[in-house]
Amino acid sequence: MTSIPVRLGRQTKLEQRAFWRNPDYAFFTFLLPLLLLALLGAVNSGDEIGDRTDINAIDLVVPGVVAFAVMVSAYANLASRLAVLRADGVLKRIRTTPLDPRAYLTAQLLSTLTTTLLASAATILLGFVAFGVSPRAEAVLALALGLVLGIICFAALGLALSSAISHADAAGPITHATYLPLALVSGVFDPSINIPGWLETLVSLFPVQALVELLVAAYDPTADGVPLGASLVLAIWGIGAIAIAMRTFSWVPSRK
Amino acid sequence: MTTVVEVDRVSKSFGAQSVLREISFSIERGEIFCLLGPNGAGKTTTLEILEGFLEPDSGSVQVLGCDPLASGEALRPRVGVVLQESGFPKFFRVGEIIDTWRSYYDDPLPYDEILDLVGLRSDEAKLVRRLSGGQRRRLDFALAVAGDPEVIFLDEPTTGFDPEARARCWEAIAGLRELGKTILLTTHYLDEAERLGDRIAVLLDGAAGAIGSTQELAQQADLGVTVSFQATAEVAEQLAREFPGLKNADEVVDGQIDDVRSLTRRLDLLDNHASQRAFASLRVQPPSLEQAYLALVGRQSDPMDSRP
Repeated sequence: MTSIPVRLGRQTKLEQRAFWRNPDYAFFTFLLPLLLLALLGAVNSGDEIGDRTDINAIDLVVPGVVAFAVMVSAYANLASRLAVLRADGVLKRIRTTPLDPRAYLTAQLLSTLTTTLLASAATILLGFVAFGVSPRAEAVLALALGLVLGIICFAALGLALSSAISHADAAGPITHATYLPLALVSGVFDPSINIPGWLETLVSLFPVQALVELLVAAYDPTADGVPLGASLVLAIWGIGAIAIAMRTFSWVPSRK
Repeated sequence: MTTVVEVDRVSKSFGAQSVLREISFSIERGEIFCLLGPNGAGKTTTLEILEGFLEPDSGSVQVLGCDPLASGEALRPRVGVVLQESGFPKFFRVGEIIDTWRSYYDDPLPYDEILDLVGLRSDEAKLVRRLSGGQRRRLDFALAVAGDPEVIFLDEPTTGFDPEARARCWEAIAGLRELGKTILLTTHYLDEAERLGDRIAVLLDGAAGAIGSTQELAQQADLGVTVSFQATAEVAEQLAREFPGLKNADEVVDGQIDDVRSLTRRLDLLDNHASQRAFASLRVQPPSLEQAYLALVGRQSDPMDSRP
């Protein structure tokens, strides 16, 4: 057995290589957010937000789509990938080897972190190149922190959700059904969306809205500092998800 | 001889369904031991208990002197497993995945030796998803032996194979025996058990009906040897009268006898009355596993049997 960092590095590299070879994963996690940003940008780049004169809709669409990239990659993709690995018996096979199961899962999470950071960076870059939108210079660190917090929270949620998916076929529908409606009402695709007050209160309790808020704060010139409430919401959801995942994670397929 | 696997009066139920009922057997070092039985007899459940995936309701198991549930960490480096159904990460290459598996063990088999043992040399660079069913099963093998384990559990290694793939797989298993591995194999194929198993346990409805080599099973099933020969009408009549298990049909005698020596003592009759032809036609066959199995199965599923 080699040392733990070497082992983690090797396993992560292998997971990354396998990930990018899979055209479905590569498309959905990497290209989809870029495509979405290009489309949304073409449709409403010049729209106004409320009665604000300092920015256009596109300035807030970019962080929204970055949030979308995080959710697709760290949450939906991780959850369905693990669910498929479990249903196919790959996790069970891993469990027959002396490989420390924690090392295997850590490598999966590191690989997810890598993919998500790449997808987010590509989206941010496209926002700048195609639409001239960039984060506030003084908020770059806050953006990076928001991203990492968001990725940890959504990866933990993905880990927890994967245990609830018993069949590989259900992986896609279940993951998308859990975050797309929230993404819609949280203004991921349309920052000027108007929803009723009670729904807004409700939505603000969920991590999707919190992540959007953190990322938007890094782009909105009128924002200042890091939104603490939103950070707290992400942290609470993340810790809760880790607790659930630790109780429910299983290495073997559910009995037929 | 050292006992490597010990199963002692193990029972297991899933809900109301009783899958194993007080099953016991033990496996010695270097032996190929077959669990033979129809689907649903409890073969996989037995293996999953030995692999530490399931806990028995009662009874105990030991693998290499350890409890698989409590000592998984100590056992995993020493035990190789081919699960009945388990996938691969589909976008790995054959060589990559074998090498990755080797890296999980302290003292793995050399990479080239693994490739040759399972016959995947020419598929080294293929993506796992492009492999045929038979090739995947051989990759299963490759991963199970990558760590040079002392004990190997094989759950229905050839189910769904074409004849050529089976032959290759059998070769690989025979190769493992030569390396001195102890192997526990489940199968519902009689020919596979007969060909590979040093000892066979017939598993029916969660109970080990009989355990032993093919000959020992035949004895337990009260099967004699099968003989057939040609003889003149007179000799044929005489022998058919002497041995109730033999039938004479048109100067051809065949049937079963319990003790082959009792017949050989009377073979002078053939020598005296028939010529070369009679001896040339003489055939003595030990009971096959199939005959023993069917006799044992028939006995267990006898309607007079008072099982619930």
